Amino acid sequence: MKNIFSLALLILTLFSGIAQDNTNHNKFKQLKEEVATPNVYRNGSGAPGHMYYQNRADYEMKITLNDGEQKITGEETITYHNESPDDLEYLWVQLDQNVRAKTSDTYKIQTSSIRGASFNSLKRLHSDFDGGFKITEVSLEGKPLKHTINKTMMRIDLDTPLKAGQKVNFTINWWYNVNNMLEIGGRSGYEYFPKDDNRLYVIAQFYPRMCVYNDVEGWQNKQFLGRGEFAVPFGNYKVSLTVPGDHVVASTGTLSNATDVLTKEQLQRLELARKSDKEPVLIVTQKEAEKAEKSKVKSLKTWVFEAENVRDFGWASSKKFIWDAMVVHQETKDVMAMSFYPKEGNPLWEQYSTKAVAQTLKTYSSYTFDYPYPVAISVHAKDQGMEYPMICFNYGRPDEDGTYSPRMKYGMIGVIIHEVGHNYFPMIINSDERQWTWMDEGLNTFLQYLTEQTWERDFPSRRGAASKIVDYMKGDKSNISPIMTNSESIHQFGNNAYGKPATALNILRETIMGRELFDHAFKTYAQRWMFKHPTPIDFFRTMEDASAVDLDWFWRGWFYSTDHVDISMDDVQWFQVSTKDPTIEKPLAEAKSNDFPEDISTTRNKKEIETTYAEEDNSLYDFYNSYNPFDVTDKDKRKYKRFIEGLNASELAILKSKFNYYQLSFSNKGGLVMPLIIQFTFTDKTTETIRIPAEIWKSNNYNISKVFFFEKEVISIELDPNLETADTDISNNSWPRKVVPTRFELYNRSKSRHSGAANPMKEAQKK
Amino acid sequence: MRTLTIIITLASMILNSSFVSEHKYYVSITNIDHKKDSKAFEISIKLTAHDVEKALKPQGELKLGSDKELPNANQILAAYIKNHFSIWINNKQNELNFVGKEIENDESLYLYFSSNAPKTLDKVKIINNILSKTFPEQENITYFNSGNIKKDFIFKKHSSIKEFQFK
Repeated sequence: MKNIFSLALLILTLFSGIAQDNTNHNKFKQLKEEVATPNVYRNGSGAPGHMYYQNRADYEMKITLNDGEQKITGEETITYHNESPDDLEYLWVQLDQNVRAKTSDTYKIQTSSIRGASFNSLKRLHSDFDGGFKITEVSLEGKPLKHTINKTMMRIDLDTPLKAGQKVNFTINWWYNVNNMLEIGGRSGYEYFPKDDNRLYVIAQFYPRMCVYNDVEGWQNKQFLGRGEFAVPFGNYKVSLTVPGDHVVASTGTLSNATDVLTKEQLQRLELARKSDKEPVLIVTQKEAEKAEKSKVKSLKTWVFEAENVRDFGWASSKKFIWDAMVVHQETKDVMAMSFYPKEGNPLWEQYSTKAVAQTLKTYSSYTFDYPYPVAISVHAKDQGMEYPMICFNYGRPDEDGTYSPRMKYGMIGVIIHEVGHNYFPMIINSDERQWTWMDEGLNTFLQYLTEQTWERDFPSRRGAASKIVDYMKGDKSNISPIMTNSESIHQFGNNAYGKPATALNILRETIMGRELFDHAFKTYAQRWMFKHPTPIDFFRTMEDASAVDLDWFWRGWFYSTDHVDISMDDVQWFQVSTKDPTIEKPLAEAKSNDFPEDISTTRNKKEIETTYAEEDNSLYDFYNSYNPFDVTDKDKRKYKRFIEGLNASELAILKSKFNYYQLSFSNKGGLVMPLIIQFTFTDKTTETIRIPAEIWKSNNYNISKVFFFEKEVISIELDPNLETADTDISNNSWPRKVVPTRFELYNRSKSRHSGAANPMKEAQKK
Repeated sequence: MRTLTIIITLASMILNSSFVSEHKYYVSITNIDHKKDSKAFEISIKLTAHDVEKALKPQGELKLGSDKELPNANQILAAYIKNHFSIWINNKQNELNFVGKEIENDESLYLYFSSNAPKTLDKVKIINNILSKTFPEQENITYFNSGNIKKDFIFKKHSSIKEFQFK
């Protein structure tokens, strides 16, 4: 038995040996084998190819919100344009609401066990919510269309295939029960306010939507399970929203019947807002909203919105809405930044929301392109953060007395920046969220970080700085996935798809490419794929193609692996050039030789052996007993003279300069190769920082040494002094070694500073 | 009945994990540093402040870091951690002392504890199920450092006990 076991082990070892030794595992190996071959749809530079195509879907919808029953009824006519070179026998439509149907796979596939079910979850089970779309009609020119519903997807079978270049018009009618977001959850739904018996609706994924058909996926009909969000084709929307007559509606698009639904005064205020670029103008004041809260109007009102070139549609409706707006000027067009919030959001919302929208547009546009839509809206929704084109739903609710903690304030500004920022990724740069969460969340979190830092110095950004990702990256690999992992399979979703890619991009920008090269390449990507559907490879290729920086090693390490950064400075050796002058070097050598500690036996023998044989009988001595190899001889001097005469002027200069040479040895313990940023501190306390590109690891990925020289003498050396590489163990980054204090020790040292609980805002009010 | 229970747990997971796009993950990070010279464990636990507030809601609105912070918030936090986090040396539970807390504006809550520890370690057991009951997806990453020995563990709802031997 034992023998069989060891044989198996031997075979395994042999195989792994073969696999590791004879193929290319160099960390600088080009990515060609991992990525798709460029083609006519997506070219080798990372741009859309000369035959790139995308289909479009235009929608005309009539939607009614029944506030009494919390029910939405809809009719839509979809015009689907087949711009692909393929004839399509069937069309796929997304039915996202079905994720909340009683039979949803989302519930079935979650792993669980019997222990630990909480009372809340029991309550939820008993709520018996009847979710999901109830499809009442699918038809073409009045005739029913054959259709098959497979969970969150519906296939529509056409009588004759939709030919390349042609379009089809068909109708879907449906209704569904709107979920209470705070009880059942959801990216959209309603919140109920018991104090004034009103609801605030934030509505999205409310209609059957076309799937994307493209060169990469064919039909993008991977089921919606809850995490991997959406991929939706671009199109034009005309949507009429019929809601209770006292509601105020915020929506994707431009309000095309403003005179029917707004008062004269509101229209005038809106005109004022179009000219106000410093402060938001209130269109509906808090006083007016509070008055509306008490009204019980039975009539309905229809608001009509039109939107061009959007990849989805969202809206919000409530009688509780306060509404403010201001204009943001861009080179190519003015945009209205707006906010809709109930009084419960104040004072935070009136002070910050619309300004956060404006700052996001300004900053994001400077890294991408001018925001192309007419409005950008932030709507208040409790415990939420969710994005749709031109509109997003954000949290940030102060306490009832109107005070709030700094955490709430920065959390709210952060979430507004993040969700408004999603207009760029993925609403305009329309990546496939169901496959790759990082393509929108990672890029967006990166720009969120840049925007937060333009809002206020030292804004407490949760993600972006290299040091913030260390705790994640140094962890057990069984609990970490490469960034290049499908949305549904990711471990530690937030760190993986938001934090790590955002940090990676920031490191590219600050440490590897530099701001100028990075910003140009990033903008190139944004502009190439504006209103198109990019894949990860298109991003990787563009970043390299527009900058002439080979980043294959970076994508391989940071995006395709779970390696981390731990570069250790193992050894430092100090050398000085020999003068070759025997009158200097020989005494030095002699001193060094004498410097060697005396052997213990020698010391003891000096006492114990009173006289040696040779001391008694001097005839035992010969030439070698009086020869001193360190004596400077005439021969030495002649040799030195010849040496000096043989040197040219520059060689002589080096010889006389007395440089200090330092040989530094580094090892790569974490696996990720990174640039070396080395700070030398000299005896006179001055410093010099030397930056060496990651390519220093190109032929040996694990151990390297390099020599540096200075006229001054070095007293200490620090690797990555500004913590810009996300090195997970900085205790091996200094010479001489420094002890890095733990968080606990830092806290203990500064304990007196912390009072634990402080809200300076409330303190000030008390006084 | 079994299916029923699974659905129950699931319903709560969906609420907690899927639909809030800015915060879809639940992770805490604990560092346990064994200080041989002072014969102590120094422990820091990093948590997301609003998750803790949510989990401890039945005991009151903590309102951490605000002036309305519950006066006994520290006691509640310390008691909660002691109930859900423990270090055992040779099958004997170590007593944890609450040292203090820090709250940052990016939602990080740091809790500090210390405890006596023998100079040399033999059999160590760690139990960590912080927040796991409230958030079934909660993952508690724990780093254990003793001299040159570094270990790291992931505690999850149904794997909340880790044991290891030093000798």
